[in-house]
Amino acid sequence: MKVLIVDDEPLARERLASLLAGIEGVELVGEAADGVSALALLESTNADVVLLDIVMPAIDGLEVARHLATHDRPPAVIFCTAFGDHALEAFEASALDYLVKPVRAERLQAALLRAQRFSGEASAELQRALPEARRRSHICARFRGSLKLVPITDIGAFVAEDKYVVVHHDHGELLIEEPLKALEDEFGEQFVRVHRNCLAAVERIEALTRAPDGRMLLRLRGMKDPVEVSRRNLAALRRMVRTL
Amino acid sequence: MALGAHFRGLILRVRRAAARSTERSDHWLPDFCSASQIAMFVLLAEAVYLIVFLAPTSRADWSLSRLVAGTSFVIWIALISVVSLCKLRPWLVERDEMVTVAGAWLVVPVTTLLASMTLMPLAPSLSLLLPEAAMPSAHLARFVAGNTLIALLASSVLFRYLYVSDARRQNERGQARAQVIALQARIRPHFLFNSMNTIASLIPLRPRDAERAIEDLAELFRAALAPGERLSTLGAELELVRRYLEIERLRLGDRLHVRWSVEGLPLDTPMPALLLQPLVENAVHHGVSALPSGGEIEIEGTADSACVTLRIANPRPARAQAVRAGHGIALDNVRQRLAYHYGDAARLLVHDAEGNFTCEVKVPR
Repeated sequence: MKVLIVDDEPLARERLASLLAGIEGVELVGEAADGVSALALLESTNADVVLLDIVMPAIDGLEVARHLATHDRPPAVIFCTAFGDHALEAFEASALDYLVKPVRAERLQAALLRAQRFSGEASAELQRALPEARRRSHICARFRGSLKLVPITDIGAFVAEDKYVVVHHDHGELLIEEPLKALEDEFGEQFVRVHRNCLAAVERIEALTRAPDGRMLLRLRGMKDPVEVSRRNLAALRRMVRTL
Repeated sequence: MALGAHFRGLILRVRRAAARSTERSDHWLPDFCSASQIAMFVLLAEAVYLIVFLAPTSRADWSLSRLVAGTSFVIWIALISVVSLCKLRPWLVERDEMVTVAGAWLVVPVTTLLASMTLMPLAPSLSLLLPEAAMPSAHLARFVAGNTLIALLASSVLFRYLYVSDARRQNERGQARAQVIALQARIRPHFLFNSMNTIASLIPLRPRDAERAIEDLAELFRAALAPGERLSTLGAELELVRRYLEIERLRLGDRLHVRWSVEGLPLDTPMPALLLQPLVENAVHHGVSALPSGGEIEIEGTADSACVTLRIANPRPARAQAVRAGHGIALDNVRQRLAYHYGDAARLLVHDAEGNFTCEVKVPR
């Protein structure tokens, strides 16, 4: 069983590593100190189980798990936490498991066994439980074979094109495979639907103008080209812009 | 009871600036010697007189001369009463509750009775107070009895009010104290368990560090779990912060840097226990540990003849990423306790610029 440790505290990682060394059939394939490198390592190591700390800087454990849930074959997640976390109570008596620090060797072993047994169910559970848990702070996309994370605050618009959604952000464009509707549900407060195929960042709205051909265009800060506003969404958008 | 008095004594020592207060200063019977109490008392007496003056009776007339004469009579009574209360108070507050209540309550009616009787020989000149020119003795008796009864009623209302409002204040103060104690015990549980985890890892690797971490942790929890609201000193508080940061440095490794500049501070300045540690814990929890590459906490102290100022600054993640809730709890706790100990003499300033958080505590020496 390949195990990956994710914790921002070096000593906490060391402790888990030394506990794992005492458990048979377990191979430690890597350690990550933050969420971003954890996601990258998971790509490259193909770990079966990830021991995931909840409280971490930038991208915390719950968000890492959310990103994992979108994988085709996600690893089993075992959360580690220092103290009862509300987000974890949802996982009680489910296929997902969590450990409290300081972690006991027996408890760790039991959790690993369970993860192995329920690996299929756990990933379904993860997908079901986590979208409710929390909005992501980053969008995760594959770019030229490597993993890229874009903070939500850097994003100007999501534009649906064919099978993909193009993420327009401050440093370029990325393709993701999530449906626009799901993005709208998750980021409904920060992004507004301006067209059947487009969500625009509310914070970045600069101007609503009429093009010579009669189309309505919305200019967004940080984006070169304006996005088109459909007639259906125009009234709601006008109302919202007035209250900004 | 003894504990309560002891506690009050401690608080009072902090309030050296307001040194006028004595042990009895929080008795329900207010100190009538102060200018504001005298003014309040006189105004109240005048209000009672105005009610009588305006009351529609058959003989009353609204002449200015009657108003002036009555007012001077009432102010005379009020001043004698308030001075009596001022002088009697030290004696009254030492007695049984019943004696205190009865004594305070009777001062005004007795003064009124005596004052009214004193006026009797001057009956001819009373014509201004009593409109009747001829002054039968029955009228004079009613004059004295009426005044005394009015004074008795007014006095009942006044002291009932003082008694009840003090009970409410006591209740509020008790609640505030309970809250203070509850809040004080709130070192984040995360911190305790993370520390335990750190120590568990250290034991096989660096047993000496593990030992020191346990000592530091014990010190912190001794302070946090001490009963009641204790007074400590600036020196002890800074020491506690150092121990706290030692543990966090083990946990966070290279990510935590601290720059101290606290030389030459008056370390014996009294200060409520565990006032600084929550602020530094905030700097670690919401600042350094929330940043992937960590950062530096600056702790800077300055002192002048009147005040000691401590400034704690830390970098923190940009607003959009700041997901850790609860920043306000520690700040509110510190603010409440400063108000509790020092009133307006101390303050906590917070400056939250993009990417940088600074708080400044100023306490009197």
